[in-house]
Amino acid sequence: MLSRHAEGLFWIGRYIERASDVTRMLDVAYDVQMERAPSARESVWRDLLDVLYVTDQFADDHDTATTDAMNQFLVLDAGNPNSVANSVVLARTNIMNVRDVVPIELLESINRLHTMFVSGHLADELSSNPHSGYSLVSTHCRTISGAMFDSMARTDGYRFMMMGRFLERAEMTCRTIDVTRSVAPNDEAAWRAVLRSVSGLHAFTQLYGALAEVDEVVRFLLMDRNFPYSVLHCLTECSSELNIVSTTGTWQSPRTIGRVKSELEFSEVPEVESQEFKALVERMEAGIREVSQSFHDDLYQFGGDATLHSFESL
Amino acid sequence: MSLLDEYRPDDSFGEMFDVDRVREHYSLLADRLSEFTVGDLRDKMQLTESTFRNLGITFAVYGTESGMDRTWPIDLIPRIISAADWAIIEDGLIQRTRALNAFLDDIYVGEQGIVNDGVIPEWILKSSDGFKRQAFGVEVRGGARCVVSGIDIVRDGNGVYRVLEDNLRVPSGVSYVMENRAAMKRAFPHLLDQYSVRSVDDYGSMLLRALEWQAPYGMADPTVVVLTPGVHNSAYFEHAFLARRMGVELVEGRDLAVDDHVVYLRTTRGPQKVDVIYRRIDDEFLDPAMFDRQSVVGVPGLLSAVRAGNVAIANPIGNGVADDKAVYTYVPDMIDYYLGEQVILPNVETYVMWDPDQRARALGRMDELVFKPVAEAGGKGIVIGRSATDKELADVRNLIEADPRNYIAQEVVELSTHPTFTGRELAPRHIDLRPFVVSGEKIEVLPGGLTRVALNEGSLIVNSSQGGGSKDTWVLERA
Repeated sequence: MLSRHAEGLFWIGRYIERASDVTRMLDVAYDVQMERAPSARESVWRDLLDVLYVTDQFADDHDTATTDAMNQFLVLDAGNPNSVANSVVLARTNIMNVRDVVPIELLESINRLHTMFVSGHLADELSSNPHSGYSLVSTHCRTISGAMFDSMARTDGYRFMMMGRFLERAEMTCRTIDVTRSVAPNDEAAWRAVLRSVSGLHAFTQLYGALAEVDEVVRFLLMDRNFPYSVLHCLTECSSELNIVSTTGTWQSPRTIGRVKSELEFSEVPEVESQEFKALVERMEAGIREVSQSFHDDLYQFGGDATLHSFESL
Repeated sequence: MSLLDEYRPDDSFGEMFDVDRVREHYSLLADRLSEFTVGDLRDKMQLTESTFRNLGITFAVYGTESGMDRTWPIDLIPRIISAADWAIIEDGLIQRTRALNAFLDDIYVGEQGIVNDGVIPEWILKSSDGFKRQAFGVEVRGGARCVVSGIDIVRDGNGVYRVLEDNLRVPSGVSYVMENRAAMKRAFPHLLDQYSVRSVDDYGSMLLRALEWQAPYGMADPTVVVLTPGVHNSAYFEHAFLARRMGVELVEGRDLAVDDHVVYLRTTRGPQKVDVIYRRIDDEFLDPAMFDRQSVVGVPGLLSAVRAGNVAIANPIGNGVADDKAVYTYVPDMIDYYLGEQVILPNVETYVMWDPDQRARALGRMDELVFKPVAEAGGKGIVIGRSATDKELADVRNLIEADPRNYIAQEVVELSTHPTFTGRELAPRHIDLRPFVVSGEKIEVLPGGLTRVALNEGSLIVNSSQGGGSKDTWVLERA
């Protein structure tokens, strides 16, 4: 596969995952703040801005973190590099760049999502009922996932795309853990919200029951092997795809991800409020960024230049 | 009120109507249209447009808002060509392509007989921008130099098919032929199956066969790629479409590297050798080492690999000399010189501006003629005398007098008209036809081609870059 195509597919995976994850986080935060006292609502939105590292950018154009302001900033504003709109636009740009190697079903499903943004349909929906707006985006993202899963041959192209999805997801789960750890380490409700924002509340409750402890939630989010949003699961999937696509010993990224993954896999998870826990989560985040970087270097090791994709905050 | 009741044919040659009588091969269409209302057609148009948008069937228009792609404009009333008419067109296109192939081979790797025998003056060739010294001595297998050509055909007031211009460099439009057909299948399934329409679906294999045939040393299973300037090119959709259809990689210049006169793909598994390049980049931008040094879409060293015989490119370098509009005037002579045959598809009546007599006569009746720069494509620089302002006429007169070699004048062809949906009614609009001819081991013509339609009333400009639309073109099977 062309290096440029591989890079494009990887980033389509990341952008779609990002769009889907951010939307789900918004949905949960929207739900949580409804049951807070009006004076406490803003802090729910503020925590989300922290997870996404965009507190300062938000302050440039907005004063109060209201639902409308959040939707404008995090969903609709394509000028904000961290918005869902921007992820969708970039996913679409990338799919156009690789349209000769992807199935038409995938192209069509991404175009439909994009059309929802540019037609104003989503903006209308969000202002009349935020939940149904988020739900629209989520449903489209699931259609896209279905198109990837159902219509792509399991060749390198598929694997590069999956790597993008799992790496992005690992990073988002890490960030959510990191922020919750710092603002509400012992708040069970907060951790339940985290579980919901990664579609994991049900899976977790089935395994551990409704009376589970915070440490069990954290361990589940970090290293449950079977939960598709746990950091370990994501790194394992990403690593196994990477091992298949990297056919020469000259690739650095398989080693990098192997190192990050093993550290997580064989560590005892420290107590949530400890410095060791903070350090572990930060090493994971740094490790994931390092994987992404060395992966780009690997792609172009035989010549050519990366197109330089990134989320601004990375 | 049905759609055809209020149709008013105009004075041009009518494709569907002979004055007010429906031509025989259009009668089934007329029956079907009589069942539809304006509202029905509008619904079908809307459905078609949203499908095109979702599938990303678009083209970029330069000079409008940056990066805005338009969905491909299709008119849902098909243009139908009878089997008998198509036989004439097909024979004429094959004949013309044989002559053009022979001409290009003669001037680049042959004895230049056509010049030595005084059929075409040498200075005409030498002054053509499309005449490339880089092509001298580069053999092309079987002399099949017009691997892909798009030869524009119009129909004059008497219904005679004439060649308006040859496009022998990187003609586009064939992907829309196939997408238009797919759209018609969705919009009018029951009409298509009443007619026996010839399929346009196997263009991908037709093209791939011709490209593989060009592979160096006649190797088996060569690696073929499509080379595109990139996603911002107006025809990018088509480049991707053709790569998909052929099952080959779509590459940009930066995906290729030349090492020791061999072209390689930059893949994640290391360099992979390339044997045939279907390039959709103009000669001037192909190789910054040999042509335009500023080109960022080309591949440095590509020409050295071509000259070493390690890679074949299609269309080959230098075809532009044969679609130069000054050289166009000599194509009937080429047919006579190389083939010794009668011309099947005549040219449009053309006057060359470097001939003092022809120039004087043409400039004396500017309002009756069309003036065209010889090396432009896409309708650029064309001045239609009767609809031009005094200033436009004065400007083109100055341009012609300053550089007569750069212009031809042609009689206005009153392009035939076809019922076309305006959103409110069916009205006559002018059309032309761009069929696609593929040269390989043999010469093949895709049945039909792209019918382009001037959407504005009375307009003769059909180019999609200038607001033209398109129609699906149905070539009927022999009864």
